[in-house]
Amino acid sequence: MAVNSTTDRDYLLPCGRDLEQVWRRLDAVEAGLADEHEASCAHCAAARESLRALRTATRELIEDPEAPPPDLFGRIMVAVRAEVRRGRTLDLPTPHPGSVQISEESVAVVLRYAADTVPGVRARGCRVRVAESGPDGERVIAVEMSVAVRMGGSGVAELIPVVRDRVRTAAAARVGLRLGRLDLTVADIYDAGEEAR
Amino acid sequence: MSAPNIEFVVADAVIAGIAARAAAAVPGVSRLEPGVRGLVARLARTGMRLWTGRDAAPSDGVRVMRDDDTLNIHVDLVISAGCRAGEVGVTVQREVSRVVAEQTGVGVDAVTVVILDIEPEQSR
Amino acid sequence: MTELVSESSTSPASAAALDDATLAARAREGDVRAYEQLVLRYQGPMFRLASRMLADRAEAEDVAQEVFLTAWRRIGQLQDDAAVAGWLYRMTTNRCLNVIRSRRIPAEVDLDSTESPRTDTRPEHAVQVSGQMAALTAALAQLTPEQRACWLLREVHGQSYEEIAEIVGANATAVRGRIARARAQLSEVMQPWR
Repeated sequence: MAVNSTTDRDYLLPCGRDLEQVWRRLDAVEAGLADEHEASCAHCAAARESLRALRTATRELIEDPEAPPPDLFGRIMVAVRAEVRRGRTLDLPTPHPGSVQISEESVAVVLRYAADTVPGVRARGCRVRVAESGPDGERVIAVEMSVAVRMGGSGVAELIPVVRDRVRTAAAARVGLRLGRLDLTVADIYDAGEEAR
Repeated sequence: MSAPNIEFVVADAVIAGIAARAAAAVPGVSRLEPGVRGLVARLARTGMRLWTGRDAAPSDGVRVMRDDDTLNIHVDLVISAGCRAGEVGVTVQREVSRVVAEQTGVGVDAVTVVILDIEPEQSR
Repeated sequence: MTELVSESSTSPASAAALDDATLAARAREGDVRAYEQLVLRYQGPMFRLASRMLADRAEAEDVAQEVFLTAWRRIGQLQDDAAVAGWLYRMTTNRCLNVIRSRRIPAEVDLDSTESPRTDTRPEHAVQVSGQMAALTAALAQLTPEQRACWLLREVHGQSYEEIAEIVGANATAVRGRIARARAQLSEVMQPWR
């Protein structure tokens, strides 16, 4: 296949057709929709053969599994966990000497999980702060949470109270902390179709 | 410290191992989490490069600290999502002190438990 | 108020089904499990890109590992959570280009020979690879690294011209030009195989 390159970007066949144009027209010509030039030009025919061969080889490349080595995932996560950001911790009550602390991120995991149980809601960000000690000496937390809601699902006004309720319950039952203030932001909407694997 | 005549010394590594097993046995504890220090210590011990993905040794996540006459044990934990985090932490404190004293005669002055992560429950 | 009942009362959507934006937002806050899902989702594509850019599986492993560790450290800099895939592609592409630049330029490859200077280290697969794919692999090595990157991102990884422009840091016109050039060169060496 002869290609005369006239500029850095155009690859013109001797007949004047641009190679990229021939590429785009591959399927149409195969379906029998060739125009007069395409049906009769030997240069275009030769170009199509080479491009078809390239396309077939490309498909082989795409389908070649070329899987990463099975231990790559483990090596990555060992390194990631070694750098887990400890962040701040919250104190939990204990009668024993020493202390029991829980990382803010762990509390965030619990609260995000609780928000996720509301259909049509996905927790995004969650920031937990110790507000103050309550009247019984219990720890009270303040939470800022952002969520995404599903398009076409229940309205935000219906969902918010449910989210608050589940977050408050989870904070008390799962962690042992009282939820003082919850600032909820609906930051995004998502499509149910985006849940594809 | 309760033992009047100390005729033997229990190495810190032994205490750490016993503490680790006691903590791991508490219901709700998913695993002990190696912090950066634990991971680095393990690698230094074995001369391994970072990229091996081997399972952590059981004592990772436990630090034994002595200060004058006091013995403090620090435990980093990952707990399971279905339990009550505060209660698990308190139980770990209690069990670590109890089992270390039982098995070595060494009295523990304080146990610090830090819950670093919570893992979802295994689906049934 | 209507009763809101979840599909299953205790388990929300499993983490594996969560969209990129949600996983990225959580990973930014230190949620290791969310980051695991991102790694599982994208380690394959990033490794494959690196492997074909570098024609060396061992180096591709190193690149993939570094990319995912760096991404964990720098995820705070990600502006658009939904664009995390493009961000990973950009890091992978840049790292590959750096590796290539730091190599000595190999002797010119003789396309008639069955071996190239850096052979793919999977000897057990060598006999199964068709002549067509071997020709394509050898031809890819002849492209400039920038052409190879643009062509792989478009033809193998399905990225749009705009996405590729973001990934390689050029404008869409330049990307189009590189891909056209790559296609012309690659098709010149493809003989029609039976």
